[in-house]
Amino acid sequence: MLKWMRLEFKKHKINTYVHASVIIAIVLFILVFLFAYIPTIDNDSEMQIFRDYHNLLMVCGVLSLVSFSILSSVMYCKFIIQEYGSNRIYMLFSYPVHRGKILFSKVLSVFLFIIVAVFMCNTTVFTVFAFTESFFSLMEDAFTVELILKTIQVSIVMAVIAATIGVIAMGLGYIKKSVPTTIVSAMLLSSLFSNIASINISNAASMNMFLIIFMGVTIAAGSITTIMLIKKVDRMEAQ
Amino acid sequence: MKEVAVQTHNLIKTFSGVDVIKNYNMTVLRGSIYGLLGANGAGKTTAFKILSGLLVPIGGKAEVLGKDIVSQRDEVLKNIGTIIETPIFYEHLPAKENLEIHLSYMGIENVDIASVLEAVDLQSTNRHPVSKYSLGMRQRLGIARALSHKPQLLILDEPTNGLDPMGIRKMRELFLKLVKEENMTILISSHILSEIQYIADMIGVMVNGTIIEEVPLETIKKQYPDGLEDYFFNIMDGGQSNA
Repeated sequence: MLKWMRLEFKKHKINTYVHASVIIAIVLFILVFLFAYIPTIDNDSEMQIFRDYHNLLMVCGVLSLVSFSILSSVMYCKFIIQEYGSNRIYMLFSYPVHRGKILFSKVLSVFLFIIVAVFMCNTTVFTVFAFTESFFSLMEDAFTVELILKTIQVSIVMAVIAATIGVIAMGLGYIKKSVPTTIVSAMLLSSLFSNIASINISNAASMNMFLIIFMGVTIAAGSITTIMLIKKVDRMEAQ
Repeated sequence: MKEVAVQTHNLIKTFSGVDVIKNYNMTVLRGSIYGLLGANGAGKTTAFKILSGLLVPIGGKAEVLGKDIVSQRDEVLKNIGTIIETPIFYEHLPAKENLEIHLSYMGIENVDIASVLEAVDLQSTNRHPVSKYSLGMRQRLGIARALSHKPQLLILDEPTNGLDPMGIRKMRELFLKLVKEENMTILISSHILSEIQYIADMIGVMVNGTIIEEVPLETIKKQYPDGLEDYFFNIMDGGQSNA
């Protein structure tokens, strides 16, 4: 499988997506900084929730999840929708490798890329932000070991959700072999997530419960999507 | 008696209720060049797609290199090289990388890619991406890719499209060399009748999805000393009036 995944990254310009991830991280850092800074100049009581590391972490997580879900859908458009929806299929279907295996290597390549990218982005942004706090403090609470563990935990969960939202969006886009459908599906699914998340943001217990349930549902839906696509591709014809 | 490389029995393929391929019977012997002739829309590309595992027939049976193309598809794909319609590549990569990817999927290692590219008059040192290639260069690269893994059978749909006269002659010599030295079998379609006339051992004429005649080129040459063109137009007129 590793061999096929390496070939996928060779076939598609992976640097483009690395650059996109870095840009997302930079924009996210600026937004996190703004979210933390605004309560210091605006005394609105609702804004004060962002002076708490836990809440800021959740906002950072949700923003990165939305961004990377969309990046994931864009990657799936390139890796799968455009490959199976164009005459590139002649090339893909001329290899003596089980078609399902090639498709699975594509799904897994993007999935793992997004997981690593979200995790790296979230932990880096939060670490750099915490580091800047030692120079000019904006937060009310301290950056503790417990918070570091929480950052890692939230980053992993958000990474998995972002990657699986991409898979589900790809499945929906594949029905019409449409790039816009894929990207819009990812936007809608991640918006649904962020809206529910925003309701629970200040309640740690309900937020944890929501994250676990949403992750479970998306993993189940993503797995079903992948299995159905593998079966479909195996029976597919290149007209 | 030569072994059979491709054998089809009453193949049928339908698109939207229309029989594009029907009662398609073909026999291609190993180590020979089979030229498939037919007007536009006769079904040549569809037939080649079935033999390459890209399409599944709704009726009949096709054996390629002794294996069933539907149930043993991956086994067949290991041993065939194809050009179907315009060759497609990874546009941002140079020719060498495109061949490397192809060979990785074919499970073949230690291929001298430079000599494969030189065989079709492409420079292995050319680092330009394929997107910068002319139509002729793309066609040459397509041919290089089709034969890079040393297949036993080449299925070439209009392989000389876009090639200049020198390129066409070069490819003709290459195809004859592959048959003679590597004992490859070549199944080729072309609109350029003279092209087929120079290289083919057997001619198959396709009309409305059916091969209406399979004749050794030698026999045609005896009956039509002026060339394949007279034979083709004669049979096409007859074929259409029969259809």
